[in-house]
Amino acid sequence: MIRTIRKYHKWLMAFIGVQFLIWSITGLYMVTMDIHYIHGESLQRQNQHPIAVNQVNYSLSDLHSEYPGAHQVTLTQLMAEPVYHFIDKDHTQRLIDAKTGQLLPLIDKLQALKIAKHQYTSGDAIASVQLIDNQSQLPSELASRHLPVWQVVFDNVWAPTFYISQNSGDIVTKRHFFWRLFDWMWRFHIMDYDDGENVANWFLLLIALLGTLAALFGATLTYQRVFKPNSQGAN
Amino acid sequence: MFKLNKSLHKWLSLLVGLQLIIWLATGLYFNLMDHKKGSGNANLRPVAHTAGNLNAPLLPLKSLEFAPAKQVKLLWVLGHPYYQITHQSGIHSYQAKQVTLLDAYTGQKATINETLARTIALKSFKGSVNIISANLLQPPIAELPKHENPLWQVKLSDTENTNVYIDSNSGRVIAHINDDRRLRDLMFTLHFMDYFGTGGFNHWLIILFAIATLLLSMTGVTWLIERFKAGQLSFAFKSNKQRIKVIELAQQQTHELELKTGISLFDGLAAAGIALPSNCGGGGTCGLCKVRCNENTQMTDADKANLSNSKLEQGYRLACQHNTAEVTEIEVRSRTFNKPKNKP
Repeated sequence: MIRTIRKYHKWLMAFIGVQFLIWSITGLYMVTMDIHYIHGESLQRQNQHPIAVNQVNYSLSDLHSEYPGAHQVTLTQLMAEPVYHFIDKDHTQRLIDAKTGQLLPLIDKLQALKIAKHQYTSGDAIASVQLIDNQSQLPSELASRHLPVWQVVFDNVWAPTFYISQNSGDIVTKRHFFWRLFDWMWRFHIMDYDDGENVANWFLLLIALLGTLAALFGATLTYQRVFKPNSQGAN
Repeated sequence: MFKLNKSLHKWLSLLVGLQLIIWLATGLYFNLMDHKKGSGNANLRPVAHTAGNLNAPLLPLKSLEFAPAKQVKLLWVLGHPYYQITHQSGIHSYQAKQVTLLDAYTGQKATINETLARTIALKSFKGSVNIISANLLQPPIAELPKHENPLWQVKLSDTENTNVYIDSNSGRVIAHINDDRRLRDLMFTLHFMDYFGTGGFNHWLIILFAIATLLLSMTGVTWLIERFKAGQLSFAFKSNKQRIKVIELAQQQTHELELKTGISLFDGLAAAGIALPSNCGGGGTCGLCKVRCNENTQMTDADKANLSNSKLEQGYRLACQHNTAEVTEIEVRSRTFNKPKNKP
């Protein structure tokens, strides 16, 4: 009996043991790396100065009458200046100078660079900046709902990257080496080798089923060796 | 050296074995689960908050008194406008916030009160239900351990025991937690070993177990490589036969056997009806399956670890650590001795 179990444990693991090694390595990476660090929270400066409300001459009533149907209206700041950000009734995002009520143009390259430098916590220079405004240029790490964005890459071995919305000037997402590596670890952990998003794939199902069987055989062997060392169950 | 590897494999499996099986079982659950149901959102529907028109002018922010703000949002709650003034907040919405709500028509301080919470909860639910209770909970909140802000919990009378959680700073529905969602959350707790309710997976217990599991996998792979080198992980498509003369000491009998090659002598003899004593089942750790071979037969690490020098010099070896092809004549003292099946 125990001989047969040992044989099945060995042969099953000969086929799928490598995946156990992969699960162990990727799992260890994901639990040891702080998720907030992975999400690049340390890359972006958080402490903002309060909004200069006394400079807000253009009121929300003004905004409401000039842009009826505006929704998700927020008073926020762009480079320390008070601005309104909202979604117009034609679903486009708008940015308005809260001092004058003037409609602000899309964030240009120079502004994007300024925003990036202003919010970046380190002093690295900027390695590249480019506008991504259509699906064909979309990198896999960016969701299409964020378009159009300025991609600003800093000159650092871990390639920290800010994605700055051209509509709002907000940093909509960021990436660095450890996040990108985390995504690969996740892919290998859930065994989805095409797009890395689908836990419900048949390959994982097959290997996890066989793996459970192999682990149960292993548990039997451990039980036998640790708790029944004197029984002679050769067959 | 190799004895240490096996010993480590055994003790590590004892340490992490149960959790490893939990990881596999919960992993299978995530693979097979209905994600829509598991999210708890099966009965969730959006709540319309925004009104088309203003009933009165919105008070200018300049005319209001409030603490320094990093953001002011025009927040609609069930058709009424408020200024949601955020003084302090983290990157994620679940992190602790300092927020003031002011009525945008009157400038009065406002809160998401129980009446609003109850109405929002009912509106967010597909189908008709009754409310069992509504309570404003302070963090930590058992069913949403990550959240650091006070939340309204509205218990509904539906068959899935839905609790609607509503942000007390905004009136937004944070989650519908029903029995499907509770099952999913339990699975996450088990998979992340979050037995102390941190709400995440970056804690010392899982890190410790992850290190032990990596060592378990590494010792396992090392063991497999060792077995492969010993010729016991080969695909014996071309099954050769090895003719072996077996002298059975207990029965004082001699047999000429033809055993398959590419398997261990222990397994080969068992297949022929000669069961050697063993309690590790061929792992090379108990030292019971010894047989006497030609003294020149190569010694493996397991032989050296389990047998005395004098036994080794006399030609004793562990049958599970040698292939059938390595020997031509052996002496055995078997535990049971069935009639050999393949007499020449």
